[in-house]
Amino acid sequence: MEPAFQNPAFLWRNPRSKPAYDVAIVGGGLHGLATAYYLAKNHAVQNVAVLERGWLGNGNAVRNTTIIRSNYLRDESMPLYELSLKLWETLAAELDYDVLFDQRGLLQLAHTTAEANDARRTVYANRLAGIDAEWLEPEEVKAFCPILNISPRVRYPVVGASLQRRGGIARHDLVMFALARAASARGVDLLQGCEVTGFRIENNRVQGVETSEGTITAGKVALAGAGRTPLLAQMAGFDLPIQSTPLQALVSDGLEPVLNSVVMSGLLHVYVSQARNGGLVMGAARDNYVSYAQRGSFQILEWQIQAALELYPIMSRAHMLRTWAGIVDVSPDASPIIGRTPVENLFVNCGWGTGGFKATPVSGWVYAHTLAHGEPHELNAAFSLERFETGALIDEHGAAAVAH
Amino acid sequence: MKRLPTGGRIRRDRPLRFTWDGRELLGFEGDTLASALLGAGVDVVGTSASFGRPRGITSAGLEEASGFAQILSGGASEPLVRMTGVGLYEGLAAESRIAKGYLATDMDGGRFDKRYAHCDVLVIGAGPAGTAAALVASTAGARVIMVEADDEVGGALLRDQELLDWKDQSFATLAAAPETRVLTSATAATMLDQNGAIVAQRIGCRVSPSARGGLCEQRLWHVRAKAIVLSTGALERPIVFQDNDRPGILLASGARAYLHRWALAPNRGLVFTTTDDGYRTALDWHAAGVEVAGVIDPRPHGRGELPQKATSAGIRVLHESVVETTFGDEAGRIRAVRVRTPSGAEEIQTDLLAVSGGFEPFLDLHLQRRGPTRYDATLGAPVPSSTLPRQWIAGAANGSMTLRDSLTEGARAAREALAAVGFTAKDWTPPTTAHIEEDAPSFLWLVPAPDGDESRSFVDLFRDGTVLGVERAVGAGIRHIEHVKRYTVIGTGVEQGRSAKTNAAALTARLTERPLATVGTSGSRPPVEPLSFRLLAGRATGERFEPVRTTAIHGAHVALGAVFEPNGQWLRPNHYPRPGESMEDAVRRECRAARTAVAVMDVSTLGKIDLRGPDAVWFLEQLYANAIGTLPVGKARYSIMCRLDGSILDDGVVMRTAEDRFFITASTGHAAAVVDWMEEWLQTEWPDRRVFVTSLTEQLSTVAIVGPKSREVLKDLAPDLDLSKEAFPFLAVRRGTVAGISEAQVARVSFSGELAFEVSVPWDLGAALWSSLLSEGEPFGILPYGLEALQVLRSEKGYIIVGQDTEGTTTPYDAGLGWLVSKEKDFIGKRSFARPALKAPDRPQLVGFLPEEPSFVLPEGAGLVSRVSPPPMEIHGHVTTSHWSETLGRSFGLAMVKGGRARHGETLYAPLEDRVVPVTLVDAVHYDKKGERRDG
Amino acid sequence: MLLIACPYCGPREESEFRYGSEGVPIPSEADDRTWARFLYYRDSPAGLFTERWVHTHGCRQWFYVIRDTLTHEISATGKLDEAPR
Repeated sequence: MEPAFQNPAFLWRNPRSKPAYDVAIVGGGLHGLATAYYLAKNHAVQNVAVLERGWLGNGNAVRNTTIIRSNYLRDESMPLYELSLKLWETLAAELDYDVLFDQRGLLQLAHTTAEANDARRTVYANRLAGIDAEWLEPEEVKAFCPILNISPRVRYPVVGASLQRRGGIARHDLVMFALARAASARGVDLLQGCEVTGFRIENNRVQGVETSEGTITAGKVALAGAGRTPLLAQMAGFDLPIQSTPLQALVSDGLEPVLNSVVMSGLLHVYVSQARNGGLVMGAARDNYVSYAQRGSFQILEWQIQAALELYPIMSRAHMLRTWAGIVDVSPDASPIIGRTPVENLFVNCGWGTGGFKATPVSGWVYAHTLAHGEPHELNAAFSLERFETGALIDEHGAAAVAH
Repeated sequence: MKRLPTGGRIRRDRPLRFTWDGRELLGFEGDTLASALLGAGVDVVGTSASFGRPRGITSAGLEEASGFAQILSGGASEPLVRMTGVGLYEGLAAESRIAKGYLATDMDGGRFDKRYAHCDVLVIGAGPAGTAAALVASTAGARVIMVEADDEVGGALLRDQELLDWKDQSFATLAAAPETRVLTSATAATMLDQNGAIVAQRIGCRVSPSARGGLCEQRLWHVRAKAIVLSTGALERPIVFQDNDRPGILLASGARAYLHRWALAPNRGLVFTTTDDGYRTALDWHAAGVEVAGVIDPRPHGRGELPQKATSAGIRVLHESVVETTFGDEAGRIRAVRVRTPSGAEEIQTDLLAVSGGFEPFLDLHLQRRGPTRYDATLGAPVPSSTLPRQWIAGAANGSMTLRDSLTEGARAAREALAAVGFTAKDWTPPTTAHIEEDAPSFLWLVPAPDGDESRSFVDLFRDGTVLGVERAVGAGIRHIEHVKRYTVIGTGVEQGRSAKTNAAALTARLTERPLATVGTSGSRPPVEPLSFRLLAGRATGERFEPVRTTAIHGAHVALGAVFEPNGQWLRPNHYPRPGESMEDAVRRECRAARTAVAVMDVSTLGKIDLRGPDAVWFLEQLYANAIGTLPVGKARYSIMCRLDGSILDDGVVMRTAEDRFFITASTGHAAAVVDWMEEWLQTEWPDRRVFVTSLTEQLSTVAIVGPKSREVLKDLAPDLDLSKEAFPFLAVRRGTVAGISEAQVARVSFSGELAFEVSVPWDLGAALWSSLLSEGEPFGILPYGLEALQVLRSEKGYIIVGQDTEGTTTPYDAGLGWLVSKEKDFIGKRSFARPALKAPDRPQLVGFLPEEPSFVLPEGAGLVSRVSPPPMEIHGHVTTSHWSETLGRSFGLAMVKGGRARHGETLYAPLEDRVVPVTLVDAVHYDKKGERRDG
Repeated sequence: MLLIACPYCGPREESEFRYGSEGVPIPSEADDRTWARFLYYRDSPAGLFTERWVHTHGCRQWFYVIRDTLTHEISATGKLDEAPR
């Protein structure tokens, strides 16, 4: 069957913009689309527009490395990401779209005693929180991932790994198609090529947005612009503790299956999975400079491939077929910011940094709640902008030790 | 195709044996794997990804859509290698695998190197424009690097058999220029910002394994150029029609290249072209004596010279006609086409259909950095609208399709580039070229299927993407070409959709009734051609993956049988097991020695910083949470450095060696970060302060000698030092001769909690110091101890390890070190303590714990709860450190527990995999609370 | 890989440097809000950005760079005390 026929015959309407909506979501990526979908589905709010300056998903949605897991550390984080994973588990059926969600297991390798202790801490914390997690010794890791080199003679031998069996991957662009289709079907207007050029704010309350397609009045405006959020905030007259940097990824040529799980190495800064079409999808650390260019520096790629060959010598002759970069909105504690902004009725959902893909369903879920009620969901209450003032940061740098 | 008896650029006197799917075949030196297969009569090279349809070679170059193979005769089996780019060699072995390859083995015998080069002008592409540019740049005296992806220079000149003598002379000139380097088989793959380029050069992979010797298979160049000339030419595109994927359907320019370069031709060739250029293939076949069935041209009769020449030569030309479908033989190879002419349909027999849908500038390198383009309506393709800074684009890549224009543009590009980098071009005259009147190309893009079945009209051969797929995408509501790409996966193949993207865009434009210019084509992501992982890794594998840092005493550790642990890039002894001894036993033995006799540890990896200057005290008061000014000369003080947000950055010891001079230690893992931190503050915030920071980490070796007998061992080695408790109290710092090494520094600091001396000597003398201590200490039962034993000793004393007992948000108060935080002065981090969240009573705080079962050692990381229930359980804390204590005769540990300091005596529970372990919270100091042993 | 002209050493590959983002002086008096902004808020502009880098594997000096965050073109580098306000 030709690949096109694995997708449904109808995806979305291409409506003209209405002059007013109850909610205008700025950003047609995965989180914006998920938010629109859950607004319609969970809260019967359908008079919603998703405003996308380019084509749906042109940002990080089609640039990420598709890793899904919920093995975070903080009390506030675990239930959030775990709800996301649970939502993933029923998403394809609910959206009636095979997004190639595959819970093939996710390993996080430890190469030093310190890493092993950190990994075990997360394993124990996860289990106490009711999230599946295990610690594996090197031989067990090898049994789970046969192509992994666990020799003690390499530069940084594997001393063990944490495993979340329910972790895995999905096909990112299909998720985008699926959410867009479901939102459109529920009456959400997807407005592509519609760029927000300004915000209409009176008495510190947002009234709507100016766009390349004209003025749109909205009861609530929800920012979902990922890496472009600092620019949107600036346009709306407030600041965020967010810096946008490149995050690169690469895919190999299509290969017969060799890698049956998702494997991440914090120390060696490389994570890899194999997609259904056989390509090895790989990523590593962020480029550390502010950029909106959607590209990063070459040495980051060289280093991660060197690391990959240490771990998986069989990949020696795989080819780097394509490289690209997203723009990741990095917050000071590697945790998202979801909730109110200083402008009334203007909401923000950003700061997912390198880890937004896995959170697609829950991000939309809690953001939709926040928008529908004007108040955060209990799961995103702690992820407010205020925490940077009180000092109650939710530090997930350990979980984000290597970008994922 | 068949091999003609004469002609081509192959060496017929050098036949080569190669293997294809296990069959031995013959080719010639100068063949590519593609041409060798064609010459050996192998027209079907594989079957397609989704439909399993037979496919053949479609081009002679980078546009190749089907000709990929698994190459078996490299250092390791390599998937999906483009056959039109593989130079044939004796013993080459390949396997038919055009859609998906495989990874075979861990063992890769190939070598891959990297080189770094700088030049004034980098010329990418050695066709006519590039050659002109390189000549002008080279003769001006600039340092020039020219790279050409093909194994031979010349580009279109080879394909069209033009200016070959001029080409040879030019490259002889370039070869003779000392500052000019021409690399062939070298593909510029990725462009870097500020005019860099990553170039992959094929070297050893072009010769027999037996002849490879020490040659690297490929070499990766990192080139930095002051100016870049992109003369990457243009690629031909195919036309979409029903059954357009049969073996024997090639691009017209490719067919021509096969004729001239490899003496390959059909029995009866047919050309289907929307351009005058396609006629060249018919004319060249004709001139070579090959039967030409005709030229099918959708355009009306025009004024072009080439169509007229064809007609004059007796070649049948059908104007206003299209190929609407094809027919195959039993193997699927093309045997005939049906042509739709103004007067009806006609079947024409042919075994090679040469197709030209027009040329488009090959701009991947320009597009990688978002080089701007505009749609050129004459070419039906994007051309550069401007260039990136210090870059020039010349020739067909710039939309200039004639030979004459390529030459003059290449020269002009070089002149401008030279001026920009400070050279003066010499006069240069291009060779004479004929002007040929050409009609404009037409834009056919696709021919509708005659029976309406668009499921066999291929837009993307590699992905088996058809017109039907694109129609479905548009029917689904898709308008943007990038969505078409993702919905159909057209353009995502190994060939980067080179031969598919424009037709896909044109079809989308047609279906959505918009001009092609507004639809655009999907972007270009690097690299231009796939780069093998091994090539990117180069030599940085195995031992060379990352440098290993070892101390001057490393050899002694190895000789003592140490088991090592990575600590950053350092390798440090973890423990020193005796033969047959487990780690636990070794650690107990080492701890016992340290607490009851004497033991030594190599602590050379600790950060060591010399900090001095008139403002040294002032500066240290800013950096450290504790007071520094009150530290007397000759004394040391345990000190905590915070980040601006109040979290602990590092702990260490500050020693005052003179009024304005300090010797500071930092943890191994944070040594570099601490020096960076100091320098950043001094340069960015307080540049007027006079403070001098020098890292001494690798200038000094340091050995800790610890235990009740340590003084006795050291006494005879340091005769000029009074080591008595009175003269040399805890935290004193002295200099003297130790083990014959003058100017050794001796400090009474103790991480173990025992009487201890840290001796620092010049780095290279560390081994001598170590060995002296071991032999002097032998009668006392001296033992070396490593990281693991240190862990036990320090945690018995409740001493933290930053990053293990603390994390990124832990403040000194959380870690039980509030006692040393100065209340008087301001310092980095202090302001942050006042924030509400940092004063919350339920913050995690350092405590000790004792498992109920004294012989059970909890795993580090175990979570602690106050109530056991089915999950979720509220987590109250976690175990940061956990050991068996030889000294206490039981298990113990440290933990971070919410509000822990107020909870001593409370019982918490550690639910493990197979049991729940109750623990009692206690003070973090388990041993010698008064510090009497340390103070001894 | 950017090529950065260290004002002390000349042009060098990006891997020799470490990024310092926007330089912000410490406020002397700060309520919690001002302090939070100082700790956590840094500019992230699209377009020209005056940022700091340090030549870690070279002269170890901090300096400023004016770089376009959309194109990565570096238009100027210079010593810190010469940084444009």
